[in-house]
Amino acid sequence: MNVSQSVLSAPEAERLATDLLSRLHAKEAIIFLGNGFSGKADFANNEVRNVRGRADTGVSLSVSLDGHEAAGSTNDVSTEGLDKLVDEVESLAKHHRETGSVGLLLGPAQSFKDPPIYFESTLAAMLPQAQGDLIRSAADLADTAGQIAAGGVHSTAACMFILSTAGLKGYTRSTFGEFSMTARTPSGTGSGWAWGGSEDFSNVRVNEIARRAIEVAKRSENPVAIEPGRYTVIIEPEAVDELVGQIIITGLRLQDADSGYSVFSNKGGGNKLGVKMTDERVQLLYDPMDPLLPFSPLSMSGRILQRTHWIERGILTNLACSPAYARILKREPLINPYFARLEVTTPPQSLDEMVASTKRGVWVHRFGGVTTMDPYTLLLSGITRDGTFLIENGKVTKPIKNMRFSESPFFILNKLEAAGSPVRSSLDMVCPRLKVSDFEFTGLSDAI
Amino acid sequence: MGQYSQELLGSVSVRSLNRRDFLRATSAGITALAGSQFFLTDWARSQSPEALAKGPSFDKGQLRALAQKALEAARASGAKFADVRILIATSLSVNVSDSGALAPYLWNRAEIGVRAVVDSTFGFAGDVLELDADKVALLAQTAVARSRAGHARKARSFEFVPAPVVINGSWQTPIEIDPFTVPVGEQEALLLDGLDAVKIVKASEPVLASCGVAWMRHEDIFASTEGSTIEQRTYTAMASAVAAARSAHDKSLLLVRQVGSLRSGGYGYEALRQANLKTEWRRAAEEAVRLSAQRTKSVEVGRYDLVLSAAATANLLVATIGHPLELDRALMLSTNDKGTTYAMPPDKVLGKLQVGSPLVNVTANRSQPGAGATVGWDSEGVKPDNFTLLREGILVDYVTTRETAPALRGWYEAHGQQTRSHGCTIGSGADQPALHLPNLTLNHGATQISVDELIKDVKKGFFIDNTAPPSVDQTGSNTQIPVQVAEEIVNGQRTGLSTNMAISFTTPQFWRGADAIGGSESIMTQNLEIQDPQIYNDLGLIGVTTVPMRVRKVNVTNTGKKS
Repeated sequence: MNVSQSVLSAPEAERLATDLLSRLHAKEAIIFLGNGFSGKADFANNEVRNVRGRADTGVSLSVSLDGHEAAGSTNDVSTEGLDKLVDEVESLAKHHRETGSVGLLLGPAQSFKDPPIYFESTLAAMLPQAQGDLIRSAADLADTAGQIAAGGVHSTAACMFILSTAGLKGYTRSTFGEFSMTARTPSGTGSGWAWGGSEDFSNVRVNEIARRAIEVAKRSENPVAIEPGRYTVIIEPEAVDELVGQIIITGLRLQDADSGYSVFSNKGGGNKLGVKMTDERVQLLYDPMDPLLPFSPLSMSGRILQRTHWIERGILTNLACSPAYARILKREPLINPYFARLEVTTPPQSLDEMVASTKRGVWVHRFGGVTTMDPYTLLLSGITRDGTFLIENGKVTKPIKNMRFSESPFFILNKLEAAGSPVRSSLDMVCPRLKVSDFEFTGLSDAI
Repeated sequence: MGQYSQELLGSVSVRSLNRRDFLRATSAGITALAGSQFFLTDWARSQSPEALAKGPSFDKGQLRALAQKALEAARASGAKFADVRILIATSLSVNVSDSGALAPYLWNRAEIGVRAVVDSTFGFAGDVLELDADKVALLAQTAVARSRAGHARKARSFEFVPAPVVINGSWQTPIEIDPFTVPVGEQEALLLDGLDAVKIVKASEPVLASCGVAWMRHEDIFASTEGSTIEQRTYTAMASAVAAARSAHDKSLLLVRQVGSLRSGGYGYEALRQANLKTEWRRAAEEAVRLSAQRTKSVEVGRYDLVLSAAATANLLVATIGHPLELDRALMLSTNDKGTTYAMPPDKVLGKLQVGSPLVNVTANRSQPGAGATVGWDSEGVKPDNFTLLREGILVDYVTTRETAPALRGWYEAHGQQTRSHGCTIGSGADQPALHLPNLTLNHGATQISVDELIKDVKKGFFIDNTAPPSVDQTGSNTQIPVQVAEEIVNGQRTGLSTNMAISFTTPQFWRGADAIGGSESIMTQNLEIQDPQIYNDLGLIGVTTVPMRVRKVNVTNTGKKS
């Protein structure tokens, strides 16, 4: 691959993949072939730090040869490179000590259509001059405001072609661009962070994001300590994402649930499918055609994805099931694409409405260090950061010191008081702002 | 099929899954093809080990010439400094579990990356390596164009601490057996034999077991406009074998034991041969079964004395001392990603901040044989030195690079030390060099003291053998660490298992409470994966050498809350 930034076209990718398939002896195989490139520019202490980019190419091959499996990949898509890959992977399969292979369990041939996820605007924004200008402009804003900021712009473009001996053939390409910034006050007692990202970089308003971070930093200066304990909290979407995202990160695997080792396991045995796990207004789902969170239905498992609920009306309706486990259970596999939308089906409240109806509470912008403390309840702990405020009698009154929390997304989703409209909260999630009661803070932190 | 999530099987890794990096990989589709695998073709197997050890099909002379072409092109485009890294990487992974041998995986890649400075900003371009001088020149020009496009807002000087020029530097990880010379069938047979020994262990329920080995070989070629030329071949093994048994008293508790004799780090196939899996894996399984029979109780909240094994100490060392002492954090260069540190600003804390008790001496190196971060030169061509981070608990240095070291000039000069990079970058091929932890050592105490002796002097406490990944604030101070299971200590005796436990502390308070540490006989090295969000494909393995230790009066909380 050369340095000129472009992804393989569908015909180019198909030609290479078909060529590779034709060299195989194996009767069962699946090929993933694609390339991508990224551009990144970072600044710190209000000054540019570096501008970089990389291009990658990859072809991965999984084969099942006379009941023996092996896989391999390379970044060399020349004739010699593809020959070497076939030779090595098939040789590996032949010498592999297979025991009871069930084959590759390939998905069937299925057609699909990508939603709009590839934008020229993101490619243009990836050019070095554009990136340099963007971060200098954000750093200028911080400097003018008398603050010290660090941040960066990051964009990627990639394509993938999948071809299998079961007849699956599909091409997808996508772009994504994001900007984030952390602004700190010179006293070192105030900090604000903001983020924006989209497949279409023209939706990412860098200066607006920068201003948000600066504003929060200013307001968060000289925080005072409050007593840890249980509070009503209003949690910004990016912070909700940090908590609810941990549900997605578990993998949502049926096999773990059945084995007794996950939050989706029943104490007495079996899994929690059909069990009400949250407030009935909660939906947790994914949909490739989600207007706020579009992604290709062509998943890296080689199966075509459709809109699927994990939690519907509070009930756990689905768990992910690998092809191997599905075969044992004699059911269809179900893939977790790691994209998810959290929806709370209730008339949305604005931030002002949520604050106005709070007698005493805490407004949280962000969490850091979020880690699982107990996988069986998905109890998490972490620390607030970048803008934590006290709410008293319907008004945001003062910045407060950061605190450590101890909560599970499953506890929170059972203590819902209100929700805002859903927004894109990260690359892989859509979440609303939430108002939650009895949220537990367990201690104070000195970190700014 | 035994598909148990890595967290449950007690990985010794301190890495936590970064969902966004995973997704970027899958959306880019390239590095989703994760894992490193080594494979041997029929041709290769028929070669003698010496012939194979010659390396892959690239001609070194050609690669050196390409590297120089890149530097020439960078200079011609206006760079005042440039360096280039070519990487030829191969990896193989082999895995067995209760359901047998899983499909082996092989991964080959060849990459090149150029870093250039026109005024004061780094520009970087990385790509797949093609043996084409024009393409390499274009890559270098792109790096230079990026440096230009990233010009500073305000005029400033470019400070890059000097490093000795290295001419024809050469280094290789000293291994015994190149894992590429051992047929995959033979490797799997060894693992399956070990698994058979686990299967005969008597237990009320089948013991779960799995073992995975990933072998990596990197050929690195480095050159810079300062005249340095370096070639290195590094071997890294990432190996882990576990046995697990379900607790008879708490069905959701899985007691997991790691096979300690199976080493990760700068090793070849000898790591697998010498692990004596048939005996050691069975022993781990028997230990898991023994623990599974023990009564468990939910921990009572309180302040306790803790005795930590070398492994548990290693995890804490990395999270609360290692990472916070990365100099980019202290210089506020990473506030938007890694965070800052409790150890800043440098000029206020060096020589003054008491991070730990006088027993806590922490040193760093990239020279320890077999340790994951050991190299001849770092990825900027700097020969790493051994250095001290904490002396009798006091902060005396940081983890540095050529870009960051100049900030400590005042301190170094005042103490008669050279102002230099400690050689702590990783990142080759299409990865830009980035600051990364080196091997770390918590130095042993002067006297021999066993874990049992440490325990004897505890009235009310716990013995902790391993921890799960910690939750730490972005300065590395406020910390809470889940402990899946610990042994309770009452009046110097181990009395049973406690669960639902987490320990919480602020960093300096914790380490200052260390009142005893193990002697030289209790030293152990863990090789831990320290992933850097900027580095795509390197596991970033580092060797963490520690001893058991005792810390007084630590807060223990109960994680069994239900609402």
